[in-house]
Amino acid sequence: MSDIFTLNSGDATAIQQHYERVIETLLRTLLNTENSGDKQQQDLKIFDGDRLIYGRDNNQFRDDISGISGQLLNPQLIAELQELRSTPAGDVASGVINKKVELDGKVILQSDRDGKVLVNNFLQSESNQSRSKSEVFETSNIVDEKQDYDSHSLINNSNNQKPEIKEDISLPFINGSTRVKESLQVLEDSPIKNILISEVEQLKTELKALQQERSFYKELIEQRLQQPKNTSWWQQAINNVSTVVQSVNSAIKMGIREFKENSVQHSSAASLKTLFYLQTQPGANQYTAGEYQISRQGALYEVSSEATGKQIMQFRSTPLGVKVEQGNLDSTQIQDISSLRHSLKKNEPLPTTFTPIGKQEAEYFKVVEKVTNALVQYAIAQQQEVEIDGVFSYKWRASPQGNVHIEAKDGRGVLLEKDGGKLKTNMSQKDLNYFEQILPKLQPSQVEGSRQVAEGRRELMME
Amino acid sequence: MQTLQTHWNTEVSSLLEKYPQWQKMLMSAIDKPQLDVGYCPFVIEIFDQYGLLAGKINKFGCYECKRSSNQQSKFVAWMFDGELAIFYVDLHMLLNRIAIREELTL
Repeated sequence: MSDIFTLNSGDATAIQQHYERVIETLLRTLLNTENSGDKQQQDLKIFDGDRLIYGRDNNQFRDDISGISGQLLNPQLIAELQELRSTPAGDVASGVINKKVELDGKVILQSDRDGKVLVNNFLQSESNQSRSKSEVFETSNIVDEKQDYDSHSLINNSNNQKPEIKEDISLPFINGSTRVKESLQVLEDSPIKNILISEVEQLKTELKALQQERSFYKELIEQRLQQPKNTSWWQQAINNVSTVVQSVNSAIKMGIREFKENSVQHSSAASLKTLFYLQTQPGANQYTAGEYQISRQGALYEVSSEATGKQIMQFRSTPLGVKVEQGNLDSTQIQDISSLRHSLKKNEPLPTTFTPIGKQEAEYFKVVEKVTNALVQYAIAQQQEVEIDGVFSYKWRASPQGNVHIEAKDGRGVLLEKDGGKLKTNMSQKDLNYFEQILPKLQPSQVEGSRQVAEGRRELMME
Repeated sequence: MQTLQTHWNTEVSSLLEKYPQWQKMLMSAIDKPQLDVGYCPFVIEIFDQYGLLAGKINKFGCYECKRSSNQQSKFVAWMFDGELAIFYVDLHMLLNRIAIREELTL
């Protein structure tokens, strides 16, 4: 606000004219009207009810869309005009009440008090042009190219604008989820392809289910859909909803609160699933820790408090995550799981609340010992310190003197350090399973010889 | 394992040049580590050059936009909680930041 400066009237007029041209260009792009240089300037007017909100009225130019020069455009109105532009006459453009757009005195778009579209010359003319359809499509493709290219520069700063997704209603429409599924089918077969396909199939199923019920979050989702180019809408909404929602009502506020609560439950479930995965043998259906118990039946997990025996959460494992079915976490439990998440992330020892009870620990150290002994035996057989840098998961070395060092290549760092009598380990059950599996390859070859040693070594590198 | 190619063929490179914001996001995502093991996105949103294709929020809802048949998707980008995680052009997977642990996907 302190940046107030004065300028002479000539400059002020020039700035104002420049600004009007910017707005005009934007509106014309939005409305897809022509304004070529060799043509006389067309007269564009926009009315809200009977009130002129944009355009020339006698000798005065009104502009309620952009407000005072320098302020953001009125995003709500822009969105409404876009909605009106893409709704055929006779249909309802929801929320677009009593709007009228005139070009050279002719009404080209109009809605009534219920949002019903009375006039839409654009769509009418599009459908009338079917005889030269291919030509029209080619042209609109070019326009599309330009529009989607240009609008990309708006991705991160267009929070208050609704960029246009140009639609040509004379062509058949396809749902976004169907388009995603089709795009995945082109990819080469791979585990990630299967996971993404399952994910999008699940999304399609849920979309169908949601059509049946009126979602509590519908309003928030509708707001999100108004900014389809914004790639971080939800993150912005959570930080400050008013940056992405024009009028924040109570439904929006409740939606945001619910979103945050769900988000906490979701990340809790994800941490518990990771814990279960890292700490149990494949096929295990129970994990008992200091203060919590997790049991699993297929993809369904139930978490209960050891102290009360009460179930505190139920979630389902999905291809790309978890889906919380029921969550009733109190603040202490949320805090416990938050510490767990921190430990898992930093690869630090588990907090006591989630440390497995004694029996599992004893078994764990037995396997650690078996693995380290086998690596040392391998070094003894080679009569030198050995170092294996695998392609995928681990890098390790062992010396005939009994020192072992294992580190993960997935970012978790050092997993095990055995030096003399000291042992420090953070190997998960899955890490141990891996090393147990490669133990047979570490056995001395039946026929000794450098060729076999070299081959065995090469094989390990490929693990 | 992260699948990435920084030496894309000319076709892919010139396509990306047309969408500088996406190109920038892709290049910066390629330099980032893979997502944590066991990472489960709360919000998944999928985009093409026109914008949002579909979205899904855990326990909250799913939504999608429409495309007409002349609006072909030139690339598909999956954003997890606002972070670019997957990006592909036709059959070329240019970015995959998901560490697959089979047991975790059961």
